[in-house]
Amino acid sequence: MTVRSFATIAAVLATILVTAACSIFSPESSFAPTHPEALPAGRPLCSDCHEGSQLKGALKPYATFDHTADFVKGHRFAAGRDAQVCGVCHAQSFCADCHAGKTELKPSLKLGNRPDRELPHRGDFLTLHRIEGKIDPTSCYKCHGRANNEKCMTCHRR
Amino acid sequence: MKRLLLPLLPAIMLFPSTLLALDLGVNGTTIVRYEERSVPGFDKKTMVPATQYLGVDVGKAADGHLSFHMYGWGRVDGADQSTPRDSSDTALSYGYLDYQSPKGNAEVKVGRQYLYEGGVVEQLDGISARSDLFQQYEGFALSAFAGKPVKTDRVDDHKGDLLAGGRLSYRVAGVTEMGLFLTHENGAAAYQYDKSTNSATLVKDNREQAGFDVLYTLNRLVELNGRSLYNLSLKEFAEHSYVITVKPVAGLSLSGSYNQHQFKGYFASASNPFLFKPYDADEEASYSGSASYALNTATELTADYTYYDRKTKGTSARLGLGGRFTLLGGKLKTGLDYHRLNSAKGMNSYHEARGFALYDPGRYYASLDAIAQRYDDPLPYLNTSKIAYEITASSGYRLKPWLLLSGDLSAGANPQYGDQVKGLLRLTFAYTTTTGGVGR
Ligand code: HEC
Ligand code: HEC
Ligand code: HEC
Ligand code: HEC
Ligand code: HEC
Repeated sequence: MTVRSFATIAAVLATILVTAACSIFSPESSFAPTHPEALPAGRPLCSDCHEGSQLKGALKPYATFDHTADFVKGHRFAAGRDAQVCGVCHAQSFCADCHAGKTELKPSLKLGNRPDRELPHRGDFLTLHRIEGKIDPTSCYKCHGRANNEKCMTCHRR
Repeated sequence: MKRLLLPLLPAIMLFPSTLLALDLGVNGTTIVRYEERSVPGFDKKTMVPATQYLGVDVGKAADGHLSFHMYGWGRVDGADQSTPRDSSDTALSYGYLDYQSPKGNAEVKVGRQYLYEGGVVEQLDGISARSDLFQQYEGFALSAFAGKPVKTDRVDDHKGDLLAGGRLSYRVAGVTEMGLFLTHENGAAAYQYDKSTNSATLVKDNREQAGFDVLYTLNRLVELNGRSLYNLSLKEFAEHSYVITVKPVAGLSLSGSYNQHQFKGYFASASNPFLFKPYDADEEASYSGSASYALNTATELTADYTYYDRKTKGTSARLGLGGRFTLLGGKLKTGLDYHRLNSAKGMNSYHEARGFALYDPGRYYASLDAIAQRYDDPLPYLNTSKIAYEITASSGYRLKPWLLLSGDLSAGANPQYGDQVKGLLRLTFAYTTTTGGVGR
């Protein structure tokens, strides 16, 4: 697609949005922007408290957001669908501990007081990454592909 | 952006009276590290870098719907330089105004922000907006964004000067959500890599991606998550990623996943095409299965297996077992993990074991974390040791409910640096004027 056709589509979309704004936007009330209830320490199981109900707006059962081991492993899917729901509890800085575009400290160093968390690169990763990076470099691209990688450049210039 | 926001900070601090009606949250972490590094053949270096992270959240302006959020960090080096480039560095991770409408979950963010929309993952200086469209039990939602991509420190990081896109989704309550998303980055480079000459050639001066994502749930018993990503600039698939999770009985969760990436499509716009080589002959597929079983609220056991198939390097497999045990009414958390990676021919294989314990009765905490790898063969160009380990002890005291002083001490040895002792001091504070969720 050319820039022009993209701009056209964007302009059309914007026009539709603005003219139809009043009638097209959902009149339902929004969910609370911050979680109204304090949570106990550790990963929450939403369905323990929000039994059997749907998270309105997201149109999904609360159980979809239960922070099980599988949820944490595959959180990319929930984040891509409902980033606004994540924002009810998580500041963007929570995600940035692992996903910053530019940072210097390994997550496991910044959060060395949290061995119970699922932080990547524990221990001597500088040696280990020579193997892990070759097994599957696509898994590294998610965080390092378009980020500030000055530290890597000392060895990966060419 | 950074130039604009940093002078604002003292202004915010100096006029608290105007902010009395607002919620204010300030949080930060100060970390001072100590590390001695001796690589044979080089001078011994002592590094004492100090890093400050700072977050500010101001909430509830304009009838409670407008808020401001920022986060960033800075580092200065004591003693020897800690990174190859400079003895100090800073970054603004984000700084944006957020308007959340009381209707339709409509939201507008202006400023530097992280974006997650389907397969779109960006850091943007610009504007983003989303809203649910006429929905009650089913319906559409739309999000859109435009601005400049946040550049890295490299002059030539292959990023463009205009980034725009969005996502349209359709959902049926409790059953499915499907999304279509699109990004366009004007002026971003798309490269292709030639192995025989070890060179990368520019093939397009923009980056355009489209994708599809899906969630399907069946009676909370089965959940399918997936997405595919297509590189429009190169007319090449970039990614397929699908996971199916089954929860047959309470506490038991079984999942199977399939991931596939074409390097040509996925790596085309990497900031460094020599680190992530967009080589058209290379692709990666992985298949994995995992099981987790929560025996009760105190014990969870996990097992996982992944089979990797990298076209140019061969197949590898990883097997893992783990357990998490919570004792003393949640005050003591412990965990044990074991992994074995059997690598493709020509690559090294290894065993990895890890164990940790964290005791946190409230006022103070103490933890111990140990991890070790044993490689089958010595690593090329490093010392001949086949073992790497690191043991970290950490302890801290809460001076105030919002102020924690902690310290980590770690000892270890590895084939890269030999014996290593490292330490750090950490001061973490999170102060808010409300009990609500401003900044976490
Ligand atoms: C300790 C119990 C508890 C847990 C665990 C919990 N919540 Fe809540 N949540 C509440 C209470 C109480 C409310 C306020 C009453 C209400 O709106 O249901 C609430 C409100 C909400 C709201 C605002 C609802 C609205 O319509 O305004 C959202 C969104 C929400 N929770 C999401 C979640 C998610 C997602 C999880 C899991 C990651 C979760 N909660 C876990 C107790 C809990
Ligand atoms: C109701 C509040 C709530 C909501 C909503 C919520 N989370 Fe969480 N999440 C938590 C809490 C609490 C933790 C535990 C944090 C800790 O251990 O310090 C957590 C932990 C996590 C972790 C694990 C981090 C680790 O190192 O173990 C990830 C990943 C995560 N959340 C992602 C998300 C995503 C993605 C969303 C949105 C789809 C989301 N969360 C929505 C409260 C929430
Ligand atoms: C404890 C570290 C950690 C935290 C905290 C964390 N993530 Fe992740 N995230 C990961 C890892 C590891 C991956 C890669 C695993 C995967 O999904 O393949 C990932 C992947 C992702 C991806 C997919 C990226 C891509 O290019 O495919 C998105 C989107 C994402 N995370 C969003 C979030 C959001 C939003 C939050 C905060 C609510 C968050 N993450 C918090 C570790 C973390
Ligand atoms: C969830 C995001 C995430 C993923 C996925 C990820 N990394 Fe990292 N990685 C980080 C962060 C954050 C840092 C710390 C900042 C830095 O050093 O750039 C880091 C640091 C590193 C370091 C420096 C470690 C040190 O001790 O200084 C190496 C090497 C590395 N990563 C390689 C990899 C490789 C190889 C992969 C894939 C197997 C990978 N990373 C996957 C986020 C990630
Ligand atoms: C101390 C030097 C050093 C540093 C620093 C370093 N690497 Fe590496 N990296 C290596 C070596 C050596 C290899 C193995 C090369 C080989 O065997 O072909 C490697 C391999 C890799 C691979 C596998 C490439 C492939 O396609 O096979 C990836 C990915 C990778 N590194 C990512 C990173 C990232 C990301 C960072 C920074 C966060 C980083 N590295 C920092 C030395 C380093």
